Amino acid sequence: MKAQRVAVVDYGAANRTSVLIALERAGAAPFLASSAPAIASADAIVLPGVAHAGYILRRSEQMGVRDEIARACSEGKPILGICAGFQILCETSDEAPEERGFGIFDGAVRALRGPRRLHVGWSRIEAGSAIVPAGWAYFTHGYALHDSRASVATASFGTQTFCAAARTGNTIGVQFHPERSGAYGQRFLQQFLSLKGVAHAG
Amino acid sequence: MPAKRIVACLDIDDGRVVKGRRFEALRDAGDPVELARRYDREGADEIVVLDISATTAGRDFSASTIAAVARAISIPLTAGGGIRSIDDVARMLDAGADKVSINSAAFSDPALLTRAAERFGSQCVVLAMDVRKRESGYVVASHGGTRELPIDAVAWARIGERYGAGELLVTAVDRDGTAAGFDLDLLRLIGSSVSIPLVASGGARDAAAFADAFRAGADAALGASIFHYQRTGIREVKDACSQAGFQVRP
Repeated sequence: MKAQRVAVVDYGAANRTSVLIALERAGAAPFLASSAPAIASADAIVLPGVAHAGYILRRSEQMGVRDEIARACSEGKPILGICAGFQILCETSDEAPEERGFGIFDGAVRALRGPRRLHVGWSRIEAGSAIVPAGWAYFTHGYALHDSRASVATASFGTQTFCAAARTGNTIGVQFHPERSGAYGQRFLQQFLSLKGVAHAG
Repeated sequence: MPAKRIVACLDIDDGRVVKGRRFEALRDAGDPVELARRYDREGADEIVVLDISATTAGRDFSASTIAAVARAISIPLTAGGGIRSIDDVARMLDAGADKVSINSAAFSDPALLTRAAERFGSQCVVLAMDVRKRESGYVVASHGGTRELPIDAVAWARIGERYGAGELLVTAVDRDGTAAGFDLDLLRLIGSSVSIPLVASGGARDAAAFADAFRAGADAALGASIFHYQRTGIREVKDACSQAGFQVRP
């Protein structure tokens, strides 16, 4: 089987190299994409995290890739948003209240609260699903999606339960970092790569 | 809360892992890629790679070590040493790091923490502080511990948080490489003064020392020589912490 061509959107932030390495390990043929045609040419799209949500939303506008990502979502091409790349797929985020998200997932991205403002480390994913099963994953974030009907897995930080993963059709968002979550992360990426894009079915 | 993290730290000089005592008398401790791979396999929760001579030698971080380690592991990788600009941060991430640790540059340019957070998110920005104990209290040192600054450690931790750091890596220089145990007073002081995660460093003696650090308020604790010279394994540390009542990643 030919390796899937996966566009890793390059907005000039993010741990894109970590993501490229992990996708290669999972059997894909990833490449960095910073233009609409490059993204359109891919079998699947990954929006990496380790970025400020406002920064990457503004960059995706400036790069002229926002419409292409939105179109790919509506056409059913497999799309994975990681961490901040997941949060920009939501409606709005407290991290960048002045910006408008893609609005794929409903709910609110809010700042975490507690004795520590950031959730950094390995936490257990609960209430998982086939694509995001229960298991230990690596998180590092100060904001998280709450109260979404699209939620397919949750995790906890102190007394707060937040959305660890959301899914609408072939668009998946994960708050954890599959690229740095050991064997659990690699299995998830392989699951994502097995999704069949509607527009590319067969 | 997330599991308490056991972090393995590789101090790099000229492409090799080295380890000394109190930042001096360095000796070779192995190949960074081999060690990182071993720690990943043994259950380390994170790898930190610090180029310990980049700042004092006034040269850039060697990105090639980061690139090689990044490909060898599947757990988070923090890179530090000689990071002076936002371009340096970008270069570390492009080499394969997931977080960057900023130390000396933050003294002359604390807004570097802010600029990095506004682009890469606060969670990507680790403020590393080397702390020395003096009669007056805890003071901060820079340039590999060689320069002492008239800054109180707790004040500096708070300033770092305000400027956008998302995590603190606090090293007790006097205990570095000594196996004297972590400086628990220091951890208590800083841990109760900030609301970002605290990584304890300097003095990892044995498995019990890690549980002590967590009891004092650390969210993660880092070991170097203890793991390099196989005095104690990562699994052993995790078992001890688990028995002490702390959640660790299995």
